[in-house]
Amino acid sequence: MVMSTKGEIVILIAEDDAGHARLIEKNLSRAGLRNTIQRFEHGQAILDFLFRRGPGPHRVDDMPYLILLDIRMPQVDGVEVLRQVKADADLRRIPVIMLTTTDDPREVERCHDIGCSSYIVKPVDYEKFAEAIKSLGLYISLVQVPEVSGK
Amino acid sequence: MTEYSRMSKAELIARLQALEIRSPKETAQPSPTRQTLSNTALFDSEERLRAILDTAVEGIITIDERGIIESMNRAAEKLFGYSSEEIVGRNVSTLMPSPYREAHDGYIEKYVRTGHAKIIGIGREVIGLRKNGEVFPMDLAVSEVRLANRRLFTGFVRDITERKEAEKRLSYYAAIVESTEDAIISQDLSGIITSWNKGAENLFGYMREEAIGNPFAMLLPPDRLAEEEAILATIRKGLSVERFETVRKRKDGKPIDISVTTSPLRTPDGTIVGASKVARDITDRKRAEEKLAALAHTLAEKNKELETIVYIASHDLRSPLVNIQGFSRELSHACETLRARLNADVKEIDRVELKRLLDEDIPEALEYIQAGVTKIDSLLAGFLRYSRLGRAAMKVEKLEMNPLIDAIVQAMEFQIKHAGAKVIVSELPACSGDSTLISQVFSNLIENAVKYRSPNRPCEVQISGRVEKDTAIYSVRDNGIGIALEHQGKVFEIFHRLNPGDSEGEGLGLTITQRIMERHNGRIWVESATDKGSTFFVSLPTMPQAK
Repeated sequence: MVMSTKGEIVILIAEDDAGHARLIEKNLSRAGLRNTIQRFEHGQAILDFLFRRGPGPHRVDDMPYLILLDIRMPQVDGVEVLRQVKADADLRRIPVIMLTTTDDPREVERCHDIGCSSYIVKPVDYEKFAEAIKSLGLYISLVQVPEVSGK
Repeated sequence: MTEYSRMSKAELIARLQALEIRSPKETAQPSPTRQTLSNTALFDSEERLRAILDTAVEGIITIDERGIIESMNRAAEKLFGYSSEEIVGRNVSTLMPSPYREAHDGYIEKYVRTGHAKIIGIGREVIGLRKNGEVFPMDLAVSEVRLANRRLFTGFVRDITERKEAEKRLSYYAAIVESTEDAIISQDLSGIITSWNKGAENLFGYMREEAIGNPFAMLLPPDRLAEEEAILATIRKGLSVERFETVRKRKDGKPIDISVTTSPLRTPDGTIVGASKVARDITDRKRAEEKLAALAHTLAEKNKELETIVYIASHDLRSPLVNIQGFSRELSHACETLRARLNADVKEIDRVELKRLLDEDIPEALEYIQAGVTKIDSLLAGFLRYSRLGRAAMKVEKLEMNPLIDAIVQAMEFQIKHAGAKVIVSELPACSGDSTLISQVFSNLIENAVKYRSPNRPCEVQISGRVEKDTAIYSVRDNGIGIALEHQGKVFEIFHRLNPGDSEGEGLGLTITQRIMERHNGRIWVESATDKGSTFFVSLPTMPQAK
C-alpha cells in the first residue's frame, strides 16, 4: 500500500437529494477545497462505480478517494454501501463519512461498528451545516488517503 | 346376663311369652303367696329379664289387643319422655303424632279381624311423638306375643334421628355434587374411576356408566400420560395437587383445557384409598388469554409501526427543511454579494459575476426552496390521507370482483395502453368489503404493476383469485422489474419508494393499501424475484365479519 498525497483526493458523494449535494459542494468550495466532486444519486450507482459494474463511470486505479454517504437512500441505502465497501479487501481503506439528517444514536453506533471514519449530522440550521462542511473540508485537506488499486 | 345378651330377639320373645308381664308396680310388690322356692327362682329369672329389658338399647313397649300399653322399658321411657307410671294403661297412640294416632286403633282392629299385618314381623320407619310434643323418626318392629287367653304386641323402637340427619346431609351433598358445573370424579389408587357426576358427563362427554370402572387414563391425551402418574404419586404421599392446568381428551376426541384439583380420599382411619378430582373447563379463559396476548402483540406491532412512521416522517420532513434553510442562506449570500458590488465603484462591476448570480445562483436557490416547500406539502398531505383512512366510515358489503376490476382497468385504459401493457382478469370469487377502499387497493396494485414494468419485455398483468375456507385470496401478478428480497419488507413502509427518480408518486400507495387491508381484517403480502416480476396477494373475508 502506497500512502500518497500527491494525487488530489476525489470526493464521491452518494446523496439522493440534489439540493443537499449542491449545498455540500458549495460549502466545500467556500471552504477552499478544489477537489473533484463526483455525485451519485443512489447507493447502487456508487457501488457500480466502486465495484466497476454496469455501463456508468468506474473508479480508476491508484486514485485516492473519499466517500460521503447519505444514510437514507431508496433501495441500497448508505449503511448497505458502507457495509459492502468495508467488506472489500481493497475498498475498505477508503475513508467513509456518513451524512444524515438524524442523530439517532443507534444509527450512529451501527455505522461506527461497520467502520465509518466519521459521522456528520446535516443540521437544519444552515450556519451549523456550513460549519460542519467546513471542518469536513479541513479534514479532507489534511487526511492522508491511500490510493486504491486492485481488481 | 351374658347368657341373655346372646339371645336372639325371637328367643327373648319366647321367654317373654312364658312370663306374665306385669306393671312395675306389681313387680315391686310381689305377693307373699309366691314366696315359694320355685317362686323365688321364677322371680329371680323375672328380675333378670327385667334388668335385661331395662338395659337394652332399643325401646321395648308392650301393648294389648286394644292398644293399651302394658309395659315400657327404660330405653323407651327415655325415648318418649314418659315414666312407666305415667304411660302404662294409656293407648299407645299417645306416642304417635296425627294422623297416625287416629288411624292406629283401626290398624290393630283390622289386624285382629283379618290377620293382615302392615307392620307386624316386618319393621318400618315411622314417626314417634315425645311427651314434650317433639316428633322424631324411629325404626319400629312389632312382634305378636300369644298367651293362653289373649295376645300382646311388643314393639321394638329405635330413634333414627341421627341416621336420618346423616342421610339428609348425604343427599344434600349429593345434590350439590350433581348440580355443580364442575366435574367431580373419584378414583381408586390404581386410577380406576369410582364416581362421576353430571358435571363430569358434560365436561368429558362420557355418561356415568361409561366412566365408572374404567381407567381415568382414557381422558389423557397421549402426550400427557406421565402427568397423571405424577399426580397419583403425590396423592399416595397424602398431598393434594391444586389447580393444575392441563389438557384432557373428551369422548369425541376433542382436547379440552381444564384446571383440576386432585386430593387424597381417606377412610376414617386415615388410609388413603383413592383421589377426588374437581375439574373445571377453562377453555373460555384460555381463549380470552390467547386473545389478549394476540391483542398485546398487535398493539406492540402497531406501536412499532407508529415509531417507524414518526422516525421516517421526521427524517423526510427534515430533508426539504435543510434545503429551504440552506438555499435561503445562499440567497442571502447572493444579496450580500450584489449589495457589495453595487456599493462599489460602478465601473468596477463584474458583469460576468452579476450575471452568474442572477441567472444561476439565485434561480437555483429559489428552485430548491420551492421544491422543498412542495415536498413538505406533499408529505403532510400524505400523512393526512393516511390518518384520514383510519377514521373514515366503512360500508362493508358483498363485492362482485369482476365488475369492480373491470371498472378499474377501464379507468386506467390510457395508462395501460401508453405502457403497452396487457391486463388479463380471470374469473374472480366475491368477497366482502368497502367497494371504494377495495377499488383503491386494486387500482394501486395494477398501477404499480404497470409502473414497475421491465424495459426488456411487454408488460403483462394477471389478476386471479381463489377461495380458501372463509377467505378470498386474490393475486396481481406482473412480469416487471421485481423487488429484491431485502427490499420486500420495506415496500409497505410509509414514503418508501422503489425508484424515486424514475417514477412519480409519494411512496404512500402500498402503505395505504396495507392500512385498508388491516381495516378489513384482511392481509396483503408480496412474492417477488428481481427481474422476473412481483405477485401481490390480497386476502379478504368472503362473508362480512363482526368486528
